Amino acid sequence: MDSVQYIIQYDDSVKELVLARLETLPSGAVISIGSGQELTKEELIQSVRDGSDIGQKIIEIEMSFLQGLKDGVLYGSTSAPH
Amino acid sequence: MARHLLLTRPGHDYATRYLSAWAEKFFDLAKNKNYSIIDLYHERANRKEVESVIKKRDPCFVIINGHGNDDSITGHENEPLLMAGVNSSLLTGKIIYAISCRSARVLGKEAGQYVDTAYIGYRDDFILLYLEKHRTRPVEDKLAELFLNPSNLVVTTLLKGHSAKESVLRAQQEFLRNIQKLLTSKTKTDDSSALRYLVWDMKNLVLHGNKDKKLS
Amino acid sequence: MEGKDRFIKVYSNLPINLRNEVILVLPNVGSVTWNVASLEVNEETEIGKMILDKLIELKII
Repeated sequence: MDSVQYIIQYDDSVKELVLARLETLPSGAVISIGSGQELTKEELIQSVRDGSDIGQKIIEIEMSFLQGLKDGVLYGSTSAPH
Repeated sequence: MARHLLLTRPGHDYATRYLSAWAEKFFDLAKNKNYSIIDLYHERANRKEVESVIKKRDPCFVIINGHGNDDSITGHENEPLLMAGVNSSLLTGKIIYAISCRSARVLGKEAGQYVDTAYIGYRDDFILLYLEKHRTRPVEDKLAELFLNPSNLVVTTLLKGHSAKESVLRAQQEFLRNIQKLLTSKTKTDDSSALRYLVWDMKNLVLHGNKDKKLS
Repeated sequence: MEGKDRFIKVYSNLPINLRNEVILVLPNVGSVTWNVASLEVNEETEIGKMILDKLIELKII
């Protein structure tokens, strides 16, 4: 069954920001995300560059983290769900 | 009367192998609490076996390790096991913990509407970070531990007799503890890269249904 | 400068080891970390204003 995908479009400046931030991932790290996707750091960066579904999700996660900082998410405050 | 715990442990990719390996960490506790563990390992994590076990053995606690989407959770080779609008009613009266992507969004909501049912899961992608060098020895992976210890706390809290709500709260607190361990000036940049994914998983762990339900 | 107080509030509450993280990539400037942003914002430079505008647009502050 297809499920509705809410895809937020981000501009290039956001993409560049996320790419810069992803560089801090350790090499040798693998991320399991989505249904069965496992990506190395290099593959993750490429997926953001390509604008794939996974790349979009990574951008969403990164922006959610950055936006949560002002709400105190690191100290246990819960902000509204996205 | 014996209490049954049904657990699926697929192993067709590294992520499911990690989930499956880390799931063994609560086996001793479950046995000490007099649970009979029905362990559907690798190929046995299929729909036919899951449905059969639920119908015949009536487990009070169902733990699904695997992948998923909004309306289903999957087993070995990503075979759908439980699906909204198809066989989710099998979960009536149970506590379910699904370590899979997004199933709390539709399947979990549907299951939570059944009488005396509690569905714990993730309403978006469950992210797991691990180190390639530990792929063949998942339980030694300190990076994966940051994600899977909090996840396991859902299970151990329930096994100790606490409510579904308490199990989610304790798991979220453990996520937060791991997050805060990575925030001090002693932490290296490499290690703190896991932060955004820990925050993501912590925020997306949710409960539908009877929040006060405990394992009987 | 609009947004300066919001920036200071968020920055002050940031764990120290996160302050070296990149928060923006600006045209003709490149990557900007929280610490670099703090310097520019405190001195109320043109770049500081650009930083604040972008951070507000992205809802980071």
